[in-house]
Amino acid sequence: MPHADSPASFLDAPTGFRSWLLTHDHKRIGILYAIAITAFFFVGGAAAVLIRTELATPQGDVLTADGYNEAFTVHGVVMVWFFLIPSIPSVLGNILLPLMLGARDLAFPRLNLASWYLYALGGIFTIACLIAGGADTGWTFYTPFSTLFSNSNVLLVVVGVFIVGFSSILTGLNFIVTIHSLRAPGMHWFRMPLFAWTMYATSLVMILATPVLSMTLVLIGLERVFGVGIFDPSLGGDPLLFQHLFWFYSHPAVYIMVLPAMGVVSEIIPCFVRKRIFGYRFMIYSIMAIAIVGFFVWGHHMFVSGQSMYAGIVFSLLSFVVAIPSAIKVFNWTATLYKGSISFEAPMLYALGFVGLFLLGGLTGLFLAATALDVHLTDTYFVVAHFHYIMVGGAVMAYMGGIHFWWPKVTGRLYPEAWARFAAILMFFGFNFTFLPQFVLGFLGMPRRYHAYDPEFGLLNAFSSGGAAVLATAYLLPLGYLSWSLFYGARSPANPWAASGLEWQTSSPPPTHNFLETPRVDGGPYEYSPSQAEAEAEAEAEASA
Amino acid sequence: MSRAISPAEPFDDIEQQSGAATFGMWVFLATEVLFFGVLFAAYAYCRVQDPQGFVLASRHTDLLLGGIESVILLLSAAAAAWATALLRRDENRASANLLWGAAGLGALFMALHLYEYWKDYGEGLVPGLRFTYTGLHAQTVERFYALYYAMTLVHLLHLLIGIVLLAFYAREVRRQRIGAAYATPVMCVALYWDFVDMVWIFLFPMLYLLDRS
Amino acid sequence: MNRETLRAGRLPALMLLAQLVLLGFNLLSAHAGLGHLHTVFSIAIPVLMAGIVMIWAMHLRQRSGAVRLTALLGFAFWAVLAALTLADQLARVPVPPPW
Repeated sequence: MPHADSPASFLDAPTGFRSWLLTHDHKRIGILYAIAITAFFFVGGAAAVLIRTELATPQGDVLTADGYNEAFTVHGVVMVWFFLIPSIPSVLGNILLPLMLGARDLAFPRLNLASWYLYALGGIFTIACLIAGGADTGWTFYTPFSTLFSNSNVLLVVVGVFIVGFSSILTGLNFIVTIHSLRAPGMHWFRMPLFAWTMYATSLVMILATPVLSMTLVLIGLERVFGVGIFDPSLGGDPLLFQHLFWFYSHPAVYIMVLPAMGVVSEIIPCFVRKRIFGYRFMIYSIMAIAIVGFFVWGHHMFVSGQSMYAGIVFSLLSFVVAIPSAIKVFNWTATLYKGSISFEAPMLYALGFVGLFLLGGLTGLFLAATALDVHLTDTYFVVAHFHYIMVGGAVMAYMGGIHFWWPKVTGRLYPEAWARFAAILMFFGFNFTFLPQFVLGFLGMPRRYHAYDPEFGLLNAFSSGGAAVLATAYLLPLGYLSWSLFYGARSPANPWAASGLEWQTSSPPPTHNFLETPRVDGGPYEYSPSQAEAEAEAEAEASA
Repeated sequence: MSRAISPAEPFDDIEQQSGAATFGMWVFLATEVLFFGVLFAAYAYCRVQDPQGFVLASRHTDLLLGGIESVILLLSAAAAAWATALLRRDENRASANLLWGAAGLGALFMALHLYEYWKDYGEGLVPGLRFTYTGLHAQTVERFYALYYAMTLVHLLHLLIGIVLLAFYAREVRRQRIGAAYATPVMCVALYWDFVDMVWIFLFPMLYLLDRS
Repeated sequence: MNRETLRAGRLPALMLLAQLVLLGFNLLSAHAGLGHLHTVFSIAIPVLMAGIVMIWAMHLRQRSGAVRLTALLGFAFWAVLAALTLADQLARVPVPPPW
């Protein structure tokens, strides 16, 4: 609670619209992002409602074929670039990274604000595309359809994604410099929380991969406007060149989406198991391995494209390799649970949900990494189910878990726990009812991106659409009770979860400059067990004696 | 003229700020390598597909103008390097003059290149706007020029930004608002200018210096 | 213009000289009818010129490990993009139609 001589919380001072829209405070910028991405989540969600409504019955009776193409394009573009990629880094990362490092802000606060405005500007172009009638190329913009044949508003959405790419790049740059330069005294690299490590790895991927997407989009624009023949086969160009350039970014992009989720889960699990994370160093090596090896596997999106068979073999092998560090992480989260004192608050439900659903999603990725299997499964619902398990069952649930875990810290309010647990469980069931049938549909041969399908697939599709209705309800619940808690929720103490981490050592919500005095760090993260901490202190004292 | 320089938020001291700003510029330049890199990769891909066509296409570029532009940019980069060395020795006037020189040479490069574009338009070598070449390997020649325009235009945009920054800091240095005490902004601009120089170091041989025998 | 000013210009002047010499070699190589050898030179010479810029103008050797790693990563990941993309193109075996 604020009292006479403590500084005002960052939410209360300064006041006024301008003080929010021109803020340099990373916490306020994180909240600006949260509002924006929530709005886009519901835009992408509306497209999903259209899609699942259409697919509830085999006939194409809700949308035209072109209209359906526009629906899945909007869904993909908005969910990938305007929700998932910014979600954890730009909301939770922005708010928490300086706090976790003991810093007063990110290294470049004005650049941070510029990143948000770039996001907003990119968003405006994308909404303009929607209003003008949408684009129908799919979020993957494959050539020559996107450059030559599509009659939809390709340029508008390409410009929107180009602009939002710079938001990503500048955020990544800011995080990298912050982590290198602004750690509190005593916090050396192997004392940073795993969330900070995932922000670092994610930022590396953002800065190395996103520029490639940006220029590739420029090339689409050039080809579409000037009719040059870089990707057009009738002019001697090669559509596979586009695919290589596009997937060089878009595969690492999925690691931009999942690494932060892994970081959130690595913060939540130790807290609700009252034990430090198992294998902290191996978690770090795995995080960095995923980020780096993730750049070598993009051709697994191109196995049937006409790519050389030898390239296919190399990409397939490397895709198996990249699963290994992820598996190490799953083992370590599980090992953390062993002999722990587990409680099932909402953040923990989301974190455990992540581990299980990410496991399923990851394992099915191995099916797709095998070229012989991929020949049959590519472009079917198996792929759709695979990536939704990771991106929705994984990343979105982790985002929800993080929002709940740090909600008291950021807002100073406690959310209603019963409602939150109910929503988490409903979300888990709704998600599985929606996407588990899609694995089967894929195996049975149902192709993706079709608005009408064979009646033999009808029952499973109806089931999936029913699940989607449950999932949609589950997403609306937090919107309700979290908003309610802002006005009527109980006030939160500084550390309601008795969690470890520098962010919990300042008030809830924190003051504008985060800490009254710069903290000094003496030990590692996850100091949950007193006997553990004592044993470690003894070992260090002996080592230095 | 010595004046205590206080760091900007959230830095604790000016050394920390300087280190962070410089590192930030290097990270930015790494992103630029990948940004331009797409065009270099696309160029390599298309050239391997039809090397003869590329050789043929490259002969229509103006070697004399391109060569002069190369020398101008190398001179400009040298001027910027001299300017930063002088700034660290508190020689603001000479440093500012050299920064103006670097900016001016950059502007000269731009003017010459724009003239090249105008000539190309006259010769019908601008894909999408006016392309009239119908000889051997016509499709490849058009593809070469598409890449030529993409690469040189993106380079020119970066050059323009660099010219503006050099001119701005030339003014700041001349008015003693930046000096040896905190020269980091000028050092960062010089790093950026060196990068722009490096891009052209690769572009020139790729576009103008295919086999000319 | 005093002696100190000129001394500060020594390193930039030497750099410029080296760059101009290398540029000259490249120009000669293009006109010498070397065929594929010229292709090798036209890549190697810019690499040397870029090396001069990075070492003597951007002072890469005096920079921190983080900066040098950053520079390396930029080029290394570009190399991954170019190498694997080109390798695919070069390794394609044309499959003739069955008729």
